[in-house]
Amino acid sequence: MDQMNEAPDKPTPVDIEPSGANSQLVHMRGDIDIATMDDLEHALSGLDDGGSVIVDLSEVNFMDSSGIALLLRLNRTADSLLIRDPTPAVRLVIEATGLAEVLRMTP
Amino acid sequence: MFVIAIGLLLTATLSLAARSVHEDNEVRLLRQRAREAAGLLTTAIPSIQTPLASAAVLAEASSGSDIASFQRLMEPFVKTGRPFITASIWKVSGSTFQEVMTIGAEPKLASVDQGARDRFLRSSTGDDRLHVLPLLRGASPRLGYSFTEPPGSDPHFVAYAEAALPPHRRAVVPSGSAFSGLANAVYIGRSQHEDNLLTASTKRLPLHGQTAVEHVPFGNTSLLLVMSPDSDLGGRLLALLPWILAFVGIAAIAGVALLVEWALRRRDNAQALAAQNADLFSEQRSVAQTLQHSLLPEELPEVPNLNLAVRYVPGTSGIEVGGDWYDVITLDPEQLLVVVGDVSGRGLDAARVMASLRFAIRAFASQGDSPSTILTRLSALPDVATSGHFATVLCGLVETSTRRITIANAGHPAPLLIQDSGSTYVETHIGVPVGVVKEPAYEESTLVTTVGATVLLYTDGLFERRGETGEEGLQRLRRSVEMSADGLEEMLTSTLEAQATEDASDDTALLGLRWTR
Repeated sequence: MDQMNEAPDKPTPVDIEPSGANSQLVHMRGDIDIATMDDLEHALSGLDDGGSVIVDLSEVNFMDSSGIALLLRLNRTADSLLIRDPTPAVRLVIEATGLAEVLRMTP
Repeated sequence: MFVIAIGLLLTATLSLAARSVHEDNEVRLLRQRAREAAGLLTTAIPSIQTPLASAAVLAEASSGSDIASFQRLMEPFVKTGRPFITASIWKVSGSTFQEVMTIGAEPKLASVDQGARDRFLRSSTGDDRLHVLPLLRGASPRLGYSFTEPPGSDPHFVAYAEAALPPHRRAVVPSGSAFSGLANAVYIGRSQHEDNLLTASTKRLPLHGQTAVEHVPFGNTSLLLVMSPDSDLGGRLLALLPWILAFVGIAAIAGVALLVEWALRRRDNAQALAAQNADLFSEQRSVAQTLQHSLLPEELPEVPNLNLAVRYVPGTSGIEVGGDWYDVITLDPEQLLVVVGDVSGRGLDAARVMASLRFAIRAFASQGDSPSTILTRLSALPDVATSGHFATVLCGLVETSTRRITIANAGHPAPLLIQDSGSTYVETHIGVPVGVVKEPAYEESTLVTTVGATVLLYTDGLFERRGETGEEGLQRLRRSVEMSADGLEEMLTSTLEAQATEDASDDTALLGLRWTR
């Protein structure tokens, strides 16, 4: 179990940067799942409330239901949420859970 | 001379260090024990709230008139060794409160001052938390619990129950037994005032000396747990079993049995701290598992023309209870509803949402709602709407004489159909998970199968693996199922074995149906 949390060369899972007025860009990397959730949650606590949030998932290859829960929470706290460049795996998870009409994704 | 001085200094430093390590260890162990005890106490909440919540839903659905169903629902919870000694439904109409049905002993609530009684019942109609009423006077103290579905209708209904505390609030720890070594006291609220005492292992209160204190959220209030060592803690067990029994009742009895066994094992020889921690970890897991099992159906109904089998496998990491569940509800001799669901997240909160979904589905189904209507109504449940959790749920209405299954799907993995020695995923209309949008709409799809066909419903723990797409996981699942043994039970067992991995962190629920004719 410990090995799971101590993967070698673990990249910073998430960057937050402003992207225009009242808009923030969140760039996530690696796996988004129960094992990385604590780190992600911690990093996302630095996000300002409201405004529009763009989540870039172009470097996320695995996401489980805790990742979906995280996106839904962002969708609730932000004024608007856009998921940018989801990988096919992530897109599939979102579609398979019937959330394609709730979580906006770039084509 | 100089050498001796240095030697003395070193010795003194070392023994001081050793002593402080020992004391640190003591403090750490004491805190750890208190945290474990607090963790165990929190498991009491669902075992109290779940039956009350379902009684409230039922009373609401039947306008408080369905006494037979209330009895059937609550009887397993109201007897010696079970959480409650009395359970009742109170009707709230305007500002009047009336006891409309009761099973078990006379509730103490009925004999308290009417003003205080009405205040308590009114306060409990204000939200959807468990409300706790201390009834601590006299030789047979009790705790009262109430739960309401949120108001909106008039009249509406409060489900109420009382649990008995140990006589004189004393849970004595037998001396010389494996349970000695820690004194404990549990109070309701936030202060160690003797009026608020629920149980204690000693008369000498408040506890003095080195103590560890934990606050445990408990419905609309909290519990205060205080522990202090009678002696060295190394190799001693929680002195907590008596009061855990007093609180947790049904859900933890099996867990407590495990703890006792663990305690006896521990007495035989002192183990290394690391090994102890590993034990604690696994014991907490089994308490969580026990809790989970207490929230799942005890047995499956006997159904003509159909074999049923289920499995529940907890994830291997984490000690918290998961939110997966399954259910089989007999509606009439020819119809049953099968349900598999998965609440996001883990822990008590997820278990609470799971319990309220499970019991709401039972209530809606018994009113004759179709699978799609049931799913739509779930998103309006207060526990779901406010919890921040969402749930994927698959509901199937099974007609036993025609082998027809009508399926509605809220974001859940599709069922797997095995017939004519091949397997396919059943196409369903996938709607949004429960608890994401306000009034989601669902479309039903219908599946009619041949005799001998098997349908598997499951949660994503069965096929999701790290480093693999969901698609790949589903393909692997199909291969496992196609290579599995013949009988339904054997099929579930071998599928689970084939799909198991070392680090499967997620829980798995699996439900199989096979038409026998």
